[in-house]
Amino acid sequence: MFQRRSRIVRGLLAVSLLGSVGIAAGLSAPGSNEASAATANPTPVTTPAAAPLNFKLDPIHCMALFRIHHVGAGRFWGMFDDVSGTVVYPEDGSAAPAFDVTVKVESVHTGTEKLNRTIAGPQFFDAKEFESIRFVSTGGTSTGDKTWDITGDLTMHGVTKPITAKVECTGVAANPVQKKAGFEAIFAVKRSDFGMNWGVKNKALGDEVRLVVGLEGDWVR
Amino acid sequence: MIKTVILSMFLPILAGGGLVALCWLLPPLRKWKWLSGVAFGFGLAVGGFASFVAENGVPPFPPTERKQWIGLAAVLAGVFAVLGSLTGSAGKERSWPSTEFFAVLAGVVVTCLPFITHWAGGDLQPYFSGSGPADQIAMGLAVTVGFLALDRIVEARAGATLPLVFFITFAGLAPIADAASWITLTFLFAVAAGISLIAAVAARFGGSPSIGRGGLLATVILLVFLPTAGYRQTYGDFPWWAWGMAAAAPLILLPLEHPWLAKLPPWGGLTLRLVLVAAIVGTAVVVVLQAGAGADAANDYGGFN
Repeated sequence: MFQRRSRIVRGLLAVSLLGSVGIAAGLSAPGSNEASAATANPTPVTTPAAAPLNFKLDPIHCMALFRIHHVGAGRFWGMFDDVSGTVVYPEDGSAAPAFDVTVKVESVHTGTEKLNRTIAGPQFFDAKEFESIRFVSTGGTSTGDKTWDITGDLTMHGVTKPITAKVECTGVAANPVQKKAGFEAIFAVKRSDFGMNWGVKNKALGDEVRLVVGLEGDWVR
Repeated sequence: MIKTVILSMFLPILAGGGLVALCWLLPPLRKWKWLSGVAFGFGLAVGGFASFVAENGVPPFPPTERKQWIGLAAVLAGVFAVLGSLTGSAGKERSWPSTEFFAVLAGVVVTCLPFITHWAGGDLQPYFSGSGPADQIAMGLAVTVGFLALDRIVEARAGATLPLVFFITFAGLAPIADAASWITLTFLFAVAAGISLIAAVAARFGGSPSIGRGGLLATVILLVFLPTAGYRQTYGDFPWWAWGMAAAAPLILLPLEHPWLAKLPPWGGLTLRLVLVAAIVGTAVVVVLQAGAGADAANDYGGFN
């Protein structure tokens, strides 16, 4: 009787031991790694960066505004309507956007026809010879939440110079049909650096031109 | 703005006009007929170049921008003011074939200058945007034919007539250039007009010297180059032919050399010539200003639709 009871106890112990091994093996099965790792290692969780998306600029919602000092008195504004190009940008803002933007000089618009002709004419942009302004970014450093200092080459009036623009991603809007990204760039250039010298020496027109460029691009699948 | 006007207009007029006045009024210089024949063309060139430099700096050769051609055209005019005067002193008969030779030479140089600049290390490109070899040939032909056509008038109309005709022509081209919104070109025409007016006054009191073949060749080069540049490089919203109409207005002097009209008294002949030139130039200016006025009105009221 006693021998029979001890065999039963040994059998139960063996079963419980096998069960423990099985449970232990089950805990270390595939799919349970992250939980065990989280318990073992307290480093923060990192999600993979979003892939950069290609956006084609929507000319209707893009514009380049400029401001310049006139005879040392007032500052007047003008705008280029025809802005086109591309932006490459990961929508989570994990990397700086890359720009290739072209502005048609003939699209200059000041509200005065004669002034438009003067600015597009040989006295300034000479648009019949130098039809467009182009900015191609070469890099960027983050300055905050979805803001960057973007460096790149600006070609204007046949002259190419490196510039730095303060760029902000103003938003990414998405719906099941399309996705749009918006950016605003602010920078200043000296027009004399680009060979547009008229009126600089006698201060008829300021040398520094401040620009505010609003861009909106449509995601290209 | 006043400083700009002084540097780009008044001082160049004083420089070019002063040169002409000195050569035509100072007795020791007046006796030197060759110098007298060079003065007008060289004065125009000096004034035009000074005006361009005041606005844009010294144009490089070969030019790096097309608009620099209008400054280099003034240099070309100066060179041909000297070369043209080699064809004979003012008032002398045309010396065949030297006059024809320099007329053709000027036309060939104007046609081929872009190739010459390419040979000198510049880019091979036509003078102005949207132009091509056909424009260059047309400009060269216009210089040769214009010079040969007006050459007989230089002989016949010494004195104030031609400077006054060119004053009206350049003075009419200035508002056309202004309507096209090219400030430098406007100043250049205004300077040429101012120098022509000073030359007319100097001719009146200086014994009626002729502008000479050099003066004519320089003027024709400027009248071909500058309006072509204005037409090609600007955005004037007026008919293109207004440039040509104003620039070619002096050609009306040719039919006025008919023997019937030669019987008119001197004051009558001068008045008729000036009125006809002014009518042609004035018509071109009115066409331009009306077109511009229409555009401005449309802009004022219809630009924000």
